[in-house]
Amino acid sequence: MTEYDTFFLAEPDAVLQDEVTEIVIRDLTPGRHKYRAAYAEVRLSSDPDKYPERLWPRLGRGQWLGTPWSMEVVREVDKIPAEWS
Amino acid sequence: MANKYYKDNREFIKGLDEAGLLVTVEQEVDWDLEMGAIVRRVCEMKAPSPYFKNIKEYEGFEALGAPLATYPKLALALGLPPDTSIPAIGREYTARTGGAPIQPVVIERDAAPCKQNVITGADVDLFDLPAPMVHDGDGGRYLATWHMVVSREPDSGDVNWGMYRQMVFDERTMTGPVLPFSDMGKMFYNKYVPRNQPMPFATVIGMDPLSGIAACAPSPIPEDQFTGMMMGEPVELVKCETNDLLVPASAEIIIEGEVLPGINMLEAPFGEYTGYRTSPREPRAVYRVHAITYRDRPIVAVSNMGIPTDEGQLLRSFSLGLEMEKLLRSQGIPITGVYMLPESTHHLVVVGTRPAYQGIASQIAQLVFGSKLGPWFHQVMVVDQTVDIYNVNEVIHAFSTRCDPANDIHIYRNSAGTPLNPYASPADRKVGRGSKVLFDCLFPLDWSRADTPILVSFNTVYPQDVQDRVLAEWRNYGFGEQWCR
Repeated sequence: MTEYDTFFLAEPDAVLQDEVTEIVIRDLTPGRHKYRAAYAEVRLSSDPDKYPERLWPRLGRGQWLGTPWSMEVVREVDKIPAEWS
Repeated sequence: MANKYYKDNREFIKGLDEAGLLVTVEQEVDWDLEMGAIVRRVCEMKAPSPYFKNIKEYEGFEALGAPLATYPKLALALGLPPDTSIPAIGREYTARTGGAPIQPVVIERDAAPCKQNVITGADVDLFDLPAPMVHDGDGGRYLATWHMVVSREPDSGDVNWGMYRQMVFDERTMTGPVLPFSDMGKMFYNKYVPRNQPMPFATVIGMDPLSGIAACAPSPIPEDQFTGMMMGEPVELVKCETNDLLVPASAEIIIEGEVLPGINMLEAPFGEYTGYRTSPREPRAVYRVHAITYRDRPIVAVSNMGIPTDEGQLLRSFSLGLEMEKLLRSQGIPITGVYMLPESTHHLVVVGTRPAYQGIASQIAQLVFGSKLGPWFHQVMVVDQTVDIYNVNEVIHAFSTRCDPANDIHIYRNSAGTPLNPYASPADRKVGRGSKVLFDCLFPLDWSRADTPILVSFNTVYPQDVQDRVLAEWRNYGFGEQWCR
C-alpha cells in the first residue's frame, strides 16, 4: 500500500466517491521523491479499507484532516502538451 | 570605482561569519520541515543565519537559511558595518542607485562557476536538488524561496529579474503564481500567451546578495544594470545552456526552461509573506524545466515566509519605501523621508512631510497608489517632520493622536490588490481587487497657532540650554551605564 495525500478544494462531504474523478495526489513515500505530485484519475472512498492505496486528505489551505481515506489509481494524467514536454 | 560588496554567495557567507551573523550547523538536518522550522525560528528571533552543512538524503549539498532577514545582514551585503542605522543604509542604497545604469558583462562559459555541473534533457530531475518542505501543509516543496527568475520581454528585449515563488510539482515541472500586474506577468500575459509562445526563464538560486536585493527592488531600471549600480561595476553574467537568457555567473544553481502558455496546474497553498497561508490551491503558471546547472557542492538559499521578519518583508519594504521616496522627490513634494515598516509585511508606508499646503497628504497617497508600486501595498500614513518615521512608538503616537477617524481616513475602493491579502474576501482575492487607505496624521493648516496642540516631549518643551544641562549631568544624577547609551 502506498500512502498519498491530496488537497480537497471543497468540503469533504462534497467530494465525489466511488466514481472516476481527476485529482492531484502527492506521493508520501519517504526519500528524495517524497511529495512528488501527479494528476491522476482515481476512485476515492472515505472508507479507509475500500481501495488499495491510502489517501490522507487536506483542505485547500493545508489543514490536515487526520482521518485516512482509500483510493484506487486508475491512471496518471500528463497535463503537459506533447510539443512542450 | 567599485563599491565594497560580496561577489558571490560564498564570500557573503564568510562575511556573515566574520560579523557574527552566521551559525554553522554541522549536524544532519532534514529537508522535510526541520530545516524550514529552524529558518522560521531564526526569522522570528532575528537570529544569525543558519548554514546547513549536512542535509538528509542530499550529500554534497548545503543550504543557507535567512540570508538577509535583518537590517544588519542587509547593511553587510552593502559593504557597511552591521550596526549601520536604517536611514544610513537607505542613504547608501539611494546614492548608489541614483546615477547612471551600469551594463552587465558576459563572461565565457568556462569561467562561470555555475557551469561546473550541467544536466539537460531526460536526465533532469528536480528532486535531485534539496528543495525543502518549508511549512507543514504547504502544497509542495519550494525550491525557490530566495532566488530570482530571469525573463525577457520578447519585443523590447528588456530583462526582468524578479522573485516569483516556484513549487516542485514533478521531476521536470514547477508551478507558481505569476500575478498579471507584476513585471514578468505583464510580459507573459500580454506578449507570450497571445502568441501561444513559451516564455524562456532561468531560475537563479544562491546568487550574490546584491543581485537578490535588485530582484526585490521595484525600480524601473533593469535589475542586471541596477545590480551593477549597487556594485559600482558590472555584474558578471553567462549565457544559459538551453536559451539566450543571461544569469549571474557565480550563482549556486540555475534552473532553465520555459513558462508554458495556455496551461495551468495546481500550486499552493504556501505560508506567505503576509504571515498567513491565504491563497488557496489553485491553477497557476507552469514552468517546464530543460536544464539544471550548478556549482560544485552547491549551497541552496532558503527563506521562510511567515510572521515578520523574513527576507521578502524586509527587502521589499526597504526598496519599495526608497523607490517611493525617489518618486515623491522627483515630483517636488516636500517630504522628509519615507519608511515602509517590515512588520507591516510591506503594507504600510509612513511618509514624513513638511505640510506646506492643504491636501498634501492626499497628493502623496494618490501619487504612490497610482504608481507601479501601488498594487503591492495598501496603507499610507502621512506624518509631519516632528515624527521620527523609523520610530514605531512615535508613529503609533502620531497616528493615535492626530488622525481624526471622521475626517482624516480616506478610503480608495476598487483598486488593484493581490490575492494574498488575508483580509480580502474570497471574491476580491479571486479577481485581484483591493482597497487603499490614507491615514492623514497632519494637523489642518487652517487651525490657528493658538488652537494647534503642542507636542510634549523632552526634545520639544524644554529650552535648549536646559536640555543640554540635563544631558551633560545625566550620569551625575545617578543613572547607571545602561541608561547612558
